[in-house]
Amino acid sequence: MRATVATRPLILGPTLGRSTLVLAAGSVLLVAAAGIGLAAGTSGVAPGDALAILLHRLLGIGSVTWPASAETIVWELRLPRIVAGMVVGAGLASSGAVFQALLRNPMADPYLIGTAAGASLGAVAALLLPALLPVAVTAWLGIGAVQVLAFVGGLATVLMVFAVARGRAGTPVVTLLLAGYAVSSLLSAGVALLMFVAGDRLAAVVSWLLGSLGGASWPRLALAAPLIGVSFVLLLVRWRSLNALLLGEAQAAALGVDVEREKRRLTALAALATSAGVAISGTIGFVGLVVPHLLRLAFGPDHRLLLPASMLYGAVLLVLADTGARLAGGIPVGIVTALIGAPFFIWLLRRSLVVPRG
Amino acid sequence: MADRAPVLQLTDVRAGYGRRTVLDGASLVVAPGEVVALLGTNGSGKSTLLRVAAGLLRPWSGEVRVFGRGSAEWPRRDLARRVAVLPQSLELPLGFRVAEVVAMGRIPHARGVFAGDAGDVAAVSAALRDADAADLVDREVSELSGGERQRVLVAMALAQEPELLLLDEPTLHLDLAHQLTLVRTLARLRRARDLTVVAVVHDLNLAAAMADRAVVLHGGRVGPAGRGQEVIDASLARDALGVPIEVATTADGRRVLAPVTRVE
Repeated sequence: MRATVATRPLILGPTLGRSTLVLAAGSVLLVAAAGIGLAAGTSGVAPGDALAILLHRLLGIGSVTWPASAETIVWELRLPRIVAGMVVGAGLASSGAVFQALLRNPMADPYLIGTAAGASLGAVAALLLPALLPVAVTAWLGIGAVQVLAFVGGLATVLMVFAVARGRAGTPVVTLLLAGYAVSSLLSAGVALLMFVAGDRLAAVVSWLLGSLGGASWPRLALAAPLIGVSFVLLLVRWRSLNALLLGEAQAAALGVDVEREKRRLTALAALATSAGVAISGTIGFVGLVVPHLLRLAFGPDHRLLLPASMLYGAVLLVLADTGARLAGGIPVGIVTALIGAPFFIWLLRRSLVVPRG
Repeated sequence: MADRAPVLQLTDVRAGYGRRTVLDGASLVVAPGEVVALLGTNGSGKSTLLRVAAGLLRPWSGEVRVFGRGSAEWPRRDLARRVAVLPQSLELPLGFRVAEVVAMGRIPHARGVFAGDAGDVAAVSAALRDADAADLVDREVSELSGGERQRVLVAMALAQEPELLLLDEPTLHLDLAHQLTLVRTLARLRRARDLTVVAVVHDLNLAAAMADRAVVLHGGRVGPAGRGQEVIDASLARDALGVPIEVATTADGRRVLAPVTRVE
């Protein structure tokens, strides 16, 4: 035995100090991104007024020196949109990290095994309901029909994919990926067919499919945020299973992880968070793919830090991307995330070609 | 030793993959504190037997009892607190340091929601020392050589503080010095905490050095191969390895095996 063991303590994971630093920096960035998002805009509200309105509404500080219209813009339009960016970005990035570990596939994103196709079919069907169903039914479903059907469609599709992929000896990850691809293709055909018959509703359909935070409102957030929050907490306490799964399923089982049960739970929770996000924003690409990769490179693959960091930095990215989208004349935020994400992903691919693997 | 309940008991086990039968009526009883070397040619079912014993592969028929309890009846986590497996190959995920990977051996013992406790630190520290991997502790796992990786995997298995250790070619990639260190460590752990070991070994000389007895897998069944130096036998070597072997004697009287390497 060699006597080279240093006297300093053995570090078995991300230290409290390092984790605090990473998460505190993320929180500061998030507050800054929210401030920029709140102050910036094309509707002529002075940036100072925007922040003053927020302080007045939240803390009762200061006196009213702005027009009522400015307060409506800030409180009813910009703020829900920023909070939606936080909630959706947090949900997408953290479930992306989970799917990448679970599927042991660096290309995995939260939409891969059916959420996107299922939610799209649900949302598009709901958008076209006025043309297909009697008015009474849509009135009964109310204003949230698109959100409800997108959420149900996304979640139900993942459960269906899981049922298709499940065999006697468990659910092999490769089968899960292929089943996800097959079912998604089927549902995408349905979406394409509905678009073909959409007529003058086509613009609304396309706008939903491109992803936007423009439809954010407090009631919709009240629906999505708790679902994403609860799934995040339940995913985070499974960090040991996620870490163990990085060693492969056989070794995870040898370390005491009930692999099939954990796969079911992790898939269901990540799909729940993703579907809740998609329901209020449509499908927004690259956040769930790129953020976990970047953070893994920067802070390491341990999920007890990776998951909360994904949540914070995913929120930052989407809030900033959406502010950019608004300032660029209201283009869909998915275009902005693709413009940021795709070049980064190419860099990541090039880097993996240079750095030799294990 | 014979009056104590066996640690591992395989009775008439049939197991395989898809339609291919690998184990066909395999039986094996391992007593507490025993070190058993598992011999056999490639594809004879050595790794399959370890996987069945670890509860990672369910047998088609026959009975597997671990610590007196049917392997299918064990909750995964309870079993992992008492049985550790060193797999033949394992992809180590990028970005982890050695200490973090070895600490994964503590997963079945975890109590806290996030942090490990002092017991975990002590166990990981002892495992790193026992596997002669303490000097690697801060290295990134992707930078390790084959032999260094093997020592890290041994450390992860030891960090589980198992009572039964199932080793699939534990000396793979290890240089001679590290092979001997591992043999000594296993002997010491066995004295210190009655560790039971079943190890797939290809080197009969090593099997004779480390194991109380060796068994050989042939045609899906387990046959006896001998105890200690009895393993060093030309006809057994032919069964276990499938090639002609010569027995030589060293200056101090130990018998050693040497493959017949004449090329026709």
